[in-house]
This record gives sequence, structure tokens and C-alpha cells, in this order.
Amino acid sequence: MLRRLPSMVSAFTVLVFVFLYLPIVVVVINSVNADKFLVSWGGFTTKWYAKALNDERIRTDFITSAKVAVASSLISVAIAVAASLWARNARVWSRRALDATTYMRIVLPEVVLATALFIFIRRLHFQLGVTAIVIGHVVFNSAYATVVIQARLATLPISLEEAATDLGASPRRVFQRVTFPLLAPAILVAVLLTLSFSFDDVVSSLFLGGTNAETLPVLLLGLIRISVTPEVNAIAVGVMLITLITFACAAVVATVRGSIGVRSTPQAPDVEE
Amino acid sequence: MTEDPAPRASAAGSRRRSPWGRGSSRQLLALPTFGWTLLFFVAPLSILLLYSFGQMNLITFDVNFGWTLDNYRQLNQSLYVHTVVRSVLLSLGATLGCLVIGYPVAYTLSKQQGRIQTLLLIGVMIPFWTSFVVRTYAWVNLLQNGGPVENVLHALHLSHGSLNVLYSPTAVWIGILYSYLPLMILPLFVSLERIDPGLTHAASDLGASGLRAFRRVTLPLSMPGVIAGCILVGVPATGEYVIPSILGGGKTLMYGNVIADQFFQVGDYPFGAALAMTMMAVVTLFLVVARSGLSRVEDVT
Amino acid sequence: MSTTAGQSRPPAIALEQLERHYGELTAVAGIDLAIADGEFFSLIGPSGCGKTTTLRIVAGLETPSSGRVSVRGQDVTDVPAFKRPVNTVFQHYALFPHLNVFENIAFGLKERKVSRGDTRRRVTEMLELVGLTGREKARPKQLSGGQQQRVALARSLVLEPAVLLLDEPLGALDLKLRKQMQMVLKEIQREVGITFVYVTHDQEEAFSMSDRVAIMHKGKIEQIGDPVDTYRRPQTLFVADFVGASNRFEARVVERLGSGSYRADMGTLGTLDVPGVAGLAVGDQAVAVVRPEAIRTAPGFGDAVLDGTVTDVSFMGPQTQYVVDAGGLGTAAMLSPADDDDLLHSGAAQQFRFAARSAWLVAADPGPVDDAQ
Repeated sequence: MLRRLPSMVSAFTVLVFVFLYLPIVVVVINSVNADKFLVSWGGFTTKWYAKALNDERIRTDFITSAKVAVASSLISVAIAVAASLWARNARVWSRRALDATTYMRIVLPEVVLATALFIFIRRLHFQLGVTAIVIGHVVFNSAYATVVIQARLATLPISLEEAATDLGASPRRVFQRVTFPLLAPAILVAVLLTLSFSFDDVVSSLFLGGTNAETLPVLLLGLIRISVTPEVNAIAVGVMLITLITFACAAVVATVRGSIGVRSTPQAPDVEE
Repeated sequence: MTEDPAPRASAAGSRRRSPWGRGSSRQLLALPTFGWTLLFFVAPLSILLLYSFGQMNLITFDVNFGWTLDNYRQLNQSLYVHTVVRSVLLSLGATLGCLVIGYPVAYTLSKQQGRIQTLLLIGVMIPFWTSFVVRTYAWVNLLQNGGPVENVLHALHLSHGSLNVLYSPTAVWIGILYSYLPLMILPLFVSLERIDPGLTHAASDLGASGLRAFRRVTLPLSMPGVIAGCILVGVPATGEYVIPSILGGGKTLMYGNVIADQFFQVGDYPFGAALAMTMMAVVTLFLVVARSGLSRVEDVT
Repeated sequence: MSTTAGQSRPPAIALEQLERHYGELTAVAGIDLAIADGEFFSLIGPSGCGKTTTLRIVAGLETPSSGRVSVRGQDVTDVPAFKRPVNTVFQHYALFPHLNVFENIAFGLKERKVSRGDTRRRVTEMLELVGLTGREKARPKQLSGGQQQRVALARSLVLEPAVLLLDEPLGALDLKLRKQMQMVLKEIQREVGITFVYVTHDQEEAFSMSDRVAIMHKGKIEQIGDPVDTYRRPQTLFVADFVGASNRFEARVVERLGSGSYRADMGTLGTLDVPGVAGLAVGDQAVAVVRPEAIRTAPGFGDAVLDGTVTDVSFMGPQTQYVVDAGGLGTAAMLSPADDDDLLHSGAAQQFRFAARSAWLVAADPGPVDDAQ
């Protein structure tokens, strides 16, 4: 199955994939396991799904998470696109400043960022809640998005936009007809990445939600710390399905648009000598 | 733009809005990113720093900025020293584990082509799209006494008796290793993929055996990926909060949990701030070491 | 250059006192230039001489530090690139990878809101002109370098610009394709009658296509003229070197003979009557430039004789090149046509001859010869 490799390395890779998927298999099995304590197989059931779906708090938290994810993703990607476009024509030191702040936002442990924002917001007597969570998520999400967009932009020769200008397109039209379509795959990747980071985040959401807003992961963490709660598995499977369907749709969109010849894996443009 | 050394009558006309790019309106594009960073990153961290030198009245919950070092002195208590050491060791251990396990996988991936490669890469990413909390929770199930892992180990005669791993540092180590593995594999893959296969062929032509060609060509050239992976795993793992609170069971606390406790249970913000600043220092140290390693390998490659 | 009004037609392009500085660096150091309508004009020079910057300023992709640019008598210095009636063929074509050939060529027409039917007709015409009929649906990546080049050409020409700017358009092609494309470009230019401004570092390419060429050096134009004139009567030593290999012999002007000739003391070569640049004065130190193909070995040929030894022979097919050690006169190069049966051998001592009227006097360089490029 795998090419040109010592069989031991291949076998090891297979084992690692088993390791990666083992917990997910457990989650899926337990989501339909009738045994209340999840110690052994107690027969098939869908009651945990029913329980999760009928729980008002779970529904509310899911919607909160979705709101936070969509808002922070859109804001992050918009910031990233603007910053990347700016950086391309900026002077060296300003570009370095952007790189440094981007890097710092990625590597700073989230606990530190969350505590800092928590104190900041309390000190200024702002409210903890959805807005605060979004603010926190955008800090790191916009950094990840910037990395993705800049990587793509680096493969696009500036002469493409110059050519469009030269052929009579105003700056706005250049963006519409050339820059944006060529960036689209990277923007899609950045949106999906930030959506999933945000939707799955615990630490910032925990610190910044306060008593006003609770996201799904925060709820899940609370539930499992209290006792064995089988419905968390049903929730996880449900969220996983939603995620996979979203990604599959995105992949289909990308493939359809892929016929426009732009791949998400950036190839060095073939215009080099 | 540099000023024209010899401004003339016509030079006034040339300081016009440029026909393409670099206009002052372009600079507005930088505003959101720097504005957001300044307001919601730099400013909060500065306040955090201020707090770490302050003092809190635990009855009135007022913070006095007395410029005291008490908060930092308090770190000397053995509980905190132990936690810091444990966090660093767990993080280093997990980083090493990820590297050892992730490298062969990334190498395998880099040798695949086309559709299979894409599928395997997606396969590495998919676990990311399942709830992190619940995935970690699944390890409680796997590692508990009488659970699947114990059963497998018994069947293979690798151990007998109770596993007794859950709610121990080992469980936390496994949890971190598991969760951060993809973050190691991806940068490794990128750096291995970038290596021109012609180079290893050339090395083989020059008489290097397969293993030697790997050690002398592939491994050094993949060092940037190794370091990037170590940063991506090691840094966030040091501040990990969720995994120890699920798999550590209140005993094996890590740094992140202690900080959170200061905010949610004790309510001593200045001390929590001092803890957070110390973590930043630890992480910065780690980064400086890693970056200097990176610049060294980049000089070589 | 000041009186464009009242004359029959304003120049397609007029540059006045054009300068472009990047901090300490000067890319364009004051250029005045007028290019006539319908002309095939080339800007040539070594890399870094400012030719591409000049072209980009004309296109509007670069802002001059000072000076004016006019197109057909209209000052466009302050007109943004997308409103200028000029179009560019970029060095690496810069075709839009997300659009097919048809859409690439129709790009500018869409900006001008040309109707669908007209667009189709004009694009089809262009495809025919550049010989790509039937490739409408192809993506740029599916085309060869030469085909991509022709799409880039069509994409600009379809807009019927006042001037077409070409920035080393053949630079990425191999030699054979280059030669072929040179013919194609020349033909197309004649057919559409649009002014071409062509930038290249390859003087041969420029000479073979252009009506006139301008040789640039360090941000300035050293000489403008038709190719023959530029080659035969270079005004500076730099131009003499850049437009072709040349032998240099030291000379001192002893008398001005009128009609552009000088009597020059050329040391061991004797005193010869040599044509040269205007403005040399008696007593001036000058350099006599002699093209390698002007040197012969036939007895009795010409009036200048140098004794030398052949040190290297390179057979190049149509010609043979010899390197000759001429003792105190330095080394010289000679090119002989292939039908010259008497191939010389390395080490052969021989008399080499040239006609004094085939030499050309230019002023000696004031400072050290700058050949950094």
C-alpha cells in the first residue's frame, strides 16, 4: 500500500493512525452504548442523542459556540487579508513588525493571553461574554489566518496585479478580478481553520465567557468533570458530523472551483526562468 | 518613500497620489491587525505585568499597585516550584515523544504521492475536528483500570494486575502526546516534502547506504521542520489546561491549572498574574533556545 | 521637443527630464526622448541601466521622481496606470492562471465594457493574428512558453493601445524560439501599425527588429539612432563596446580634416586618416574602434598594418574568430567569413590589416573604464 519504504516504517505508521483514531472510535461506540457507566458494552441505544438534543442548555451553548466561531473567523480572516496585502508592499521593517506580532500571538500560551484579557476586561469594567470571547479568539485566529494567507500571497507574482492594472482595471477591480480569485483557496482554508479552532477552544472561552456566555466545549468540560455523562459522546459525534459535512461541502466547492486551475496547495508559479 | 534629493518645480507635481499601490490609503490595511494586537494583546499583557507587581486585598478585592515583588517571592513555595518543574518536564517529554513517533509518520507521508498523500494528510487532521475535550475524555475510558488498554496489555502479557495509570502524570503525558501529535507531523512533513529526492539519490550514488543517506542528507535538511514542530508542541503544551484537568484528576496539576485556580477559586489576581508572567518567561526561554537552534540549522542548510 | 503643436503628429511617446530615484540609488537619471507614431523602438542596455524602470514609468506602474511623460501629446504623468492608453507585455507574461486563453485576452475589453459580441469578434481576430485559433479554452499552464508569450501579446494588442510596451518579452525562451518570435513580433508590428517600445539587454535582438534604438547606461541615454548608424558610428566608448565586440587602439588627434574625419597618430600603426565623432580637438586623446570583421589578412588590403601572432582560434560555423596578440598594441580580435579557405592556426605569425576609414574615433574615457555590468 505504501510506496518505497522499509516495511517496519510502514507498519509503524499504521499503528500511529490506530493511535490517532482509537479515542474517536471509543467516542463513537460510547455514544450508542446503553451502559450508563460506559464500562462495558450495554447494548445499542440512541437515547444519549435524544437526551443531548432535548437539553436546552446544550442547544444554547451550541448556538453560542457557533456564533463565536463564525464571528471570530470572519473578523480574523478579514484582518489577515488586509494585513497580508499591506505587508506585500510594505517596507522591510514594517513587514518584520507584522511577522513578529503574528508569531507572538501564535506562540503565547493561551492561558497567559486569557488571563491578561480577563484582567483587562474586568479592569475596564467591560462585560465578559460572547463579545469578549470573540475578541480573545480573534487575537490568535487572525495570526493563524495571516500565516495561511501570506503563504499563498507569496506564491502570487505581483506582476499579475500589475498586468490587470495595465489592462485597465482600477485598484478595486484588480482586487475583484485577480487578487481575490487567486487568494480564494487560501481564504477558504483560513476560514475553516479558524472556525474549528474557535469552535473547539476551551481556555479563552472559559476565562472570557464569565457567567454571561458558555460555549459547548466549556460545558462539556464541566459535565465530564462532575461525573460520567454519556451524552457528551453523542454531542461530540454530532459536532464531528457537522464539521465533516461542512468540510466536505467546502471540498466540493473547492473542487468545482478547482477547475479554474487554482489549487490550495500552492505551486511555484511556472513563470520562473 | 525617500525624499527627492533635488526637489524642483516639477518635483512638487511628482509627490502625487501614486497610480498604483503605496498610496496612503493602502496603509489603512495595516490598521486592523496592529490595532487589534495593540488593544487586545499588548495592552492586556502590560496590565498583566502591572498586576503581577501589585497586591490584592482578599477581603475588599481591591488591587494596590505597591510595586512589590511578593507575588514572585511566593512562587518559591514548593507547590508552585513542583508544578513548574512538572509542567516543563511533561511538556519536554511530550515534545520528545511526538518527535519520535511523528518523524517516521511524516517521512512515510512525504514518500507518498497524489491522492494517497492527500488522504493520509487529511487523516492526520481529522482528529482535530472532533471535540478536543471529548477526545481527551475518551482516554479516561481507554486508560481506566479494566479498560481496553489494560486488556490489550494483559493479552500481550506485557503487564499484569491493575494498570493504575489514570489520573497520573503518565496519563497526562499520553494525553498531550496524543493531542499534539498532528502539530508535530505537519511541519515535519512540510520540511521533508521539500527535500529534493535527487539529493538522497545523489547521496546513494556517492556510495552512502540507505540509512547513511538518511542520516547525512535527509535528517539535517529536515531540521527546520523538527524545530518548528517542537515549538508548535512544546510551547502550548507547557500551558496546557484541559488535558491535566481531565486526565490528571486534580492530582497532576500543570501550570495552566494553577493559574486558572488563582483566578476562579482563590481570586488572587496579582499572584495569578505573576504566575502567568513567569510562564511567559519560561516559554520565552524555550523559544530563544529553539530559535537559535533554527538559525544554526538554517545556516547549514 | 518643445513644439509639438502645429506639427503633423505629436510623438507617440515623449519623455522630458525623466528621473527616478530610490533613496540613494538613481535608476533613471534624466531622460529626454520622443518616439514617433508607428515606430519599433528599442531601449537597450546592460541590466541595471534603468531601461525597465523607464518602461514601467511609461506604463504608470512606477512613479517618476520628476519629469513628464506624454502619450500622443497628452501629459499622462498624473494619470494612473489603468487609465493610460498604453499596454505592457510583461517579462514573464503574467497571464492570469485562473482564466483561460479567451478570458485572458478579453480581460481588458471587459474593463471597457465592450459588448459580448464585439468581445468575441475581437478576441477571435487576435487569436488568429497570433496563430492560436482553437486554443481559447486552454489554461495558461497548458501552453508552451512561446504560446504564452503570444497570448500576452494578444491580450495587450486587443485593446489597440497607442503604444505597446514590451519588457524583455523573449527573455524566457530558448534561442531558436527567440529567433522565431522576433520575426513574429516584427510582422505583427507591421500589420497592426502600433508603436512598439521594446526593452532588451540583447543588442542583436534589438537591431534585428527596431527602427531605432536607444542605448542606456547608468540611467541615461548614451545614444539614439537607427541600428546601422549606432553600430557604425557609436558616440561613446561604452556604446561601441555594448553594441558589438570591438578592438581599441590608442590614438591622438593631430589634425581635423573636416567632414567628420581626423588625422590621428596611432603609434606603431602610423598616422592615419580616420572618421570619428564630432567635436574632437587637436591634441585630444582618443580611441580608434575597429570591428573584428573589418580586419583581414589579405596582402595589400587597407592602409593599417599590425604584426601579430594568433593565440586562439574559434570556429563558429559561418565565421571563424581569431584572437591575436599584437605586441605593444595589445590583443585584437578578428572575424573571418567561413569562405575564407586559409584558416590560420594558433601560433601563426601574420600581418593583419584594416582600412583606416573602417575605424572610428571616439573620445577616450575620462575615468577608469566602468564595466561593472
